Parts: sequence; C-alpha cells; structure tokens
Amino acid sequence: MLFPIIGAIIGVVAGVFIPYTVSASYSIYVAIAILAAFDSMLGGFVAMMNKNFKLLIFITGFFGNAILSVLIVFLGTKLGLDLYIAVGVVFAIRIFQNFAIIRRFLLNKWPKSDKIEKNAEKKA
Amino acid sequence: MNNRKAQLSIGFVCMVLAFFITWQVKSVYKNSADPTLGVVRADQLQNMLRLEKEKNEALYKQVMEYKDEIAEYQASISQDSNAASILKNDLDKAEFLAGMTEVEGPGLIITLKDSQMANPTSGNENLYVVHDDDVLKVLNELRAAGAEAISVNEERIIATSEIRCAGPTISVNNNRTAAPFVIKAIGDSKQLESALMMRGGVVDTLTQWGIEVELKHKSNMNIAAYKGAVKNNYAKKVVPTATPDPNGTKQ
Repeated sequence: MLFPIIGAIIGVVAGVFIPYTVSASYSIYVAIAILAAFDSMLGGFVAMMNKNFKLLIFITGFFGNAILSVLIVFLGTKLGLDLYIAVGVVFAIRIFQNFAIIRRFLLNKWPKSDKIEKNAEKKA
Repeated sequence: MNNRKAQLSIGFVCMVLAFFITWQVKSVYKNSADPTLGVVRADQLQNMLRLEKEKNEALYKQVMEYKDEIAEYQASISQDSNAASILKNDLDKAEFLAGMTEVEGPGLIITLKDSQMANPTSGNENLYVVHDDDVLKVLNELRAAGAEAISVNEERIIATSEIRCAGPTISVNNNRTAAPFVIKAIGDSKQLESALMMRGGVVDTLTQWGIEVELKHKSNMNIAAYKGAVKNNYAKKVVPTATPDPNGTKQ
C-alpha cells in the first residue's frame, strides 16, 4: 500500500504547484480524465486482489480508456450532444462495481463472525 | 515480483489521479473568480451592474452640465441683440414641442398594474400582465384625444421615443421600466378619459384580463423633460433648391 500513497502525495503536490490552470472550456475533459483514472485505479486493486494483475492490460486500459473517453466527449461537443454525461455514467457504474468487489474481498478477509462476537462482548 | 509491479503501476495511476483532481479543483476555483469568463456568479454580476450604474450617473451629470452651459449661452445671446431674442423665442418653442423642457398643466394620470387575479383559468399568463403594446395603445388613444405632453414612468415621450418589450420590463427612451406604469398626459383630462374609457376601447379590453387601470384627474402637474441626448448621425436636412422639378410637369 506504500506506492499508491506516495504517488497520491506526489500528485497532490504537483497539482498544487503547477502554474497553469485548466481553462473553463477544457474542464470537462479533465473531469472525465479524473473519472477514467479513478476507475483504472480501482480496477487495478481488484485485479491485484484476484491475483490476475497483468501490467500490459492495466496500462493499455488506463491510457485507452482515458483517450477514448476524451474522444467521445470531444465528439459530443461537435455533435451538440452532451456525451460527457454518458461517459460519466459508464465510469461511475464501473467505479461502484469495482468498489463492491473490493468491499466483498475485504469483508471476507476478516471473517464476520469474529467481529460480531467481539462486538457482542463489548456491549455486554 | 508481479505484486510489486502492480503496486508500482497503481501508484503511478494514483499520482496521475491526485494530480488531475488537485489541478482541476484549483482551476475551477480560479475560473469562478475570473469575471471575464462565462461562469460568473450573481454577486459579481451585481457588482458590475452597480459600477455601470455609477458610470451612467456620472454621464447623466455631464449631460446636465452641458445643458446648463447651453442655457447660459442662450441667455447671453438673447441679451446681445433683438434678432437673437426672436431666434431664442423660436428655439424655446421648438424645444417645447420636442419635449426638451419640463412642462406643466392640467391632465390625466393613468396607472397600469399587472392583474391581481389568482390562478388565471385560461393558461396563458402573458395575457394578465401589462405589455409594451398595451402601453402603446394607451399612448395612441391619448395622442388621438389631443394630449400635448406624455411621459411613461417619468420618461418623456418625444419624436424618437420607443416603447418596446424588454423581457419582463419595457424599454422607453432606451431605459427600462417595470410595472406599474404611470402614464402622465397633459391635455383636456375629460376628453382624455373618455377616449380611454370608450366602450370596447383600451381600458375595456385591459380590464377583461384583470389589469388594473387607474385614472386620476389633475388640475396641475409637471411632466419632466427628455433626459437623454439627441443624436443625429444619419439624417440630414434637405435644403429646397430653386431647380425645376425633375419630372418637368409643374411650373
């Protein structure tokens, strides 16, 4: 768990100190990129837990999803259709699904019965 | 080790994610503080409006100063010679007719208020508010009945005045005013009233929709002068010449 935390700290520092700002017309693209990155991160965790993490799949998924979603949003602005909503919905659903898998994995890791007994003792 | 690779790459993605989030939050915060961009908050707009109003007031003061100056010049000219004083009289008359001076006299004050009817049964709410064309119709009747000077919400109606829909307000002399509309007209107040109250006339139609029309007779009231500046950039006076008619029919 060390690398993700270090990465996040570096990212925050870089984001705070970058002198440029995203102009308002491009903020949709950055927002979609955020969703894509978040989805990729959770997907990576899931793969790691299932022990079927493949670097190539992860990297291509990350960049491919980001580029494709930005392209769809761009197409949406050209067509006059708010396609960023569609991309946002898809990523949000995937994020929730991945989170559900992670949740189940973590809950199964620490057996529930132990916890319930402990809680019962505490209350008693 | 596979796990190490996975952690490294997820760490990289985390870095990108954290970078984008902080960057975006920072940018959105900054953009919303920049008044030149499309997303401007209401209080900033209000501030801009206030500044514009202040500018407007300053310009108005300037116009008034210039008008005073002109009056001074006119006064000094009329003292100088007799011919000039005749010219001055003509000018006064012209200004009076053009609505450049404050006038007083007997007349009628008409107040138009939006309908107070609760829940209009026929769906179109537009019929229950005072519109630009309602005001226009009233003005037209007043003119027909011989009104000599008219103002709408203290905006003097002159030859170039417009009465035009401007969203929920109407624009008179390019200034916006909202309901209730107070229309002042100097003239024979009885005649003015009967022109408006005619059966099937303006007031009859308006009251059908619940629009409140109030008439007040005044034995003496003031109507303000036109406040704006008179521009003529395009129209030029045509000087009649002695050349014969191009068709040659008239001698």
